[in-house]
Amino acid sequence: MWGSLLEAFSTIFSFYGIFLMVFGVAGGITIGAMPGLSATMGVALLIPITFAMQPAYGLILLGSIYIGAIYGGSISAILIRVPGTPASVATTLDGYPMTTNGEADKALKISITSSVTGGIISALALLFISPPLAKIALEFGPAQYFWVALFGLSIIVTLSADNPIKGFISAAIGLFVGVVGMDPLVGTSRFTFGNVNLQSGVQVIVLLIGLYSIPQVLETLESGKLNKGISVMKRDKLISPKEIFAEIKEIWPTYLRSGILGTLIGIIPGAGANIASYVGYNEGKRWSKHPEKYGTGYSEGIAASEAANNGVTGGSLIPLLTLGVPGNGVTAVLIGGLLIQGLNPGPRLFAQNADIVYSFMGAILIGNFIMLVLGYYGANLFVNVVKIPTAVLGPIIIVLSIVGSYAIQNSLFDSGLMLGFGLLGYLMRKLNIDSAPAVLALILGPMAESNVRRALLMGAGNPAVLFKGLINWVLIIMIVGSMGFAFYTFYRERRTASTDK
Amino acid sequence: MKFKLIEEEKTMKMAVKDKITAAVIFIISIAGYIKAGEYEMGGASTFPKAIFMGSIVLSVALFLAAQFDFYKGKEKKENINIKRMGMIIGITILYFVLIDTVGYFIVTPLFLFLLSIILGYKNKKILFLYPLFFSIFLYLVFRSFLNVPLPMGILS
Repeated sequence: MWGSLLEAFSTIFSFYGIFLMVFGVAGGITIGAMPGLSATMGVALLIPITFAMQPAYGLILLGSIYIGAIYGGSISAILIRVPGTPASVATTLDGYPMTTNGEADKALKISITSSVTGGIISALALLFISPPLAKIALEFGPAQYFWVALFGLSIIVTLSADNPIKGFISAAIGLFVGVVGMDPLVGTSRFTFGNVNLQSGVQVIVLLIGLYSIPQVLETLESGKLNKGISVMKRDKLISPKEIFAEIKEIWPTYLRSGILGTLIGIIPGAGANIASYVGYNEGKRWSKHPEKYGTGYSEGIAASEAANNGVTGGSLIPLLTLGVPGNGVTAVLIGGLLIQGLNPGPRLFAQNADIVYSFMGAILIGNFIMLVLGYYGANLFVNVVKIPTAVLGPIIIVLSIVGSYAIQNSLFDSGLMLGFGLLGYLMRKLNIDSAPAVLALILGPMAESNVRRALLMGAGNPAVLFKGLINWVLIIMIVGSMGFAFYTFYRERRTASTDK
Repeated sequence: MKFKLIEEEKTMKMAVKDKITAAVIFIISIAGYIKAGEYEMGGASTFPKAIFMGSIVLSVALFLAAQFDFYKGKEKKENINIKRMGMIIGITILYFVLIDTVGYFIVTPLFLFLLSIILGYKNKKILFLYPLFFSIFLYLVFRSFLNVPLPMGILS
């Protein structure tokens, strides 16, 4: 292993290797920051380019794009409350309030440092403890995936602490959108109303852009102050590294906890960064000394979400490289990147192509350090977005949303659907119904449905199959604990509010 | 006294919206539940039916919460220029409708320019330059970097 690792580092630290990492991370950040584009899309579209490269360099480029894109989604989430990727939805909860409070620079720098922390933790796990962690992935079957999905859905209670009924209504909208299309088991078309464009269901990104981007623009343009930017910076000078370090000193347990959580969630095939960011945020709030500050513009909230979603990057590669099982959508596409280079993911990959595999894994680690430099100093540039007059920024976001949703499947139907969701999202905002539960439910609803049905099929219709085994019970206890804690917090806050009156 | 009455009026306004929302969700859920009954084969109807059943329960809960003022949330002071919002939504829909037939390169700069003017942006230099530069930048990102074709319309 050490010999292959040394050889890999000589590839990574070559001029070409560093150039590819810088280009890949910068490109990934750009892709992730733009609503409509995602890490999966970015990696998928650039795989053909890597065909002409040597295998190690091709994989270095793809890995760099992956980590850059997952972080990039937080930039638009923080600055304009439009998550660049589904994994950044939880980041909007504290990121955008920090921007409106004049602390956009601080928010961006907390985001990059926490993302890099999560990325490094997962990269180290990938490099040094892949085989034992991969065994965990093998233990997960349909019943376990069902409970994982329910655990993710239980976070809705935390997300809708102010009004759980409206939170669940939002989730019901997401769950309904998730059943549109072909049934995953028997192939029946559900709620397509004869429209062939709906046969493959509704893309998560279409709903995401619709529910966030358009309502945000419409709300911003409601007021008369359109020749000014979104917010005014609190101070004349940008926040210094010393101040950021002082902030990190206060919240470093969240950095570590979320990074580890993200790595573990990334190992579970099918889970992914989308779930990890919510779980990270939820657990961050639960363990925080100041949970009441979450959602008001609290840097710990950003750290909790971002460390977790970048923690997925290395974790998701563990089952891919060791077992040939993709950890999420991006790694499923990465299989194409490996195959195009003549590499077969799985147990033999390490034996037959150790130097290439370690180059890939090493690039994930070193790429995070490059991302730290690009992201940290890039934040000084990105923050200028808040100064762009809303009369200019608003139309730009609308164009990005329409073109971005078109680009998913080269379909104007998706753009039209996005606009429809946009008007729905605007209406939801006027009714104080948050969009985050809808997005979460769209991601997890289909996962819950298909796996519970598979589990019941395997158990010949006997629901006892869902309650067999230690992993199932651990997950059930986590769900009960998560929901119980959230309801208890809600009850305690209402009681405090009535006592104060 | 007068201040208290105004506050109560504002609180009632959201309660009225919630009741209407609850009624709409109730009706849609009933229709959805009936429609889901068409997908009985292989258990395909179970999950959708469960969702609509849950929505019916939620709509009743929302109605009751609004009726008994269970959630004393803050009312946001609305200051919406309906005419402006109508124009923004209308011109956006027009952009979407025309982008395929007329083409990205013609419609996008026009849309950016017109909407910024409607929104009252006055800096002429930026008004003429940014639609062009942004449209080219976006085209380069999608077409050249990501190899995603954009609708060219009459220029194709």
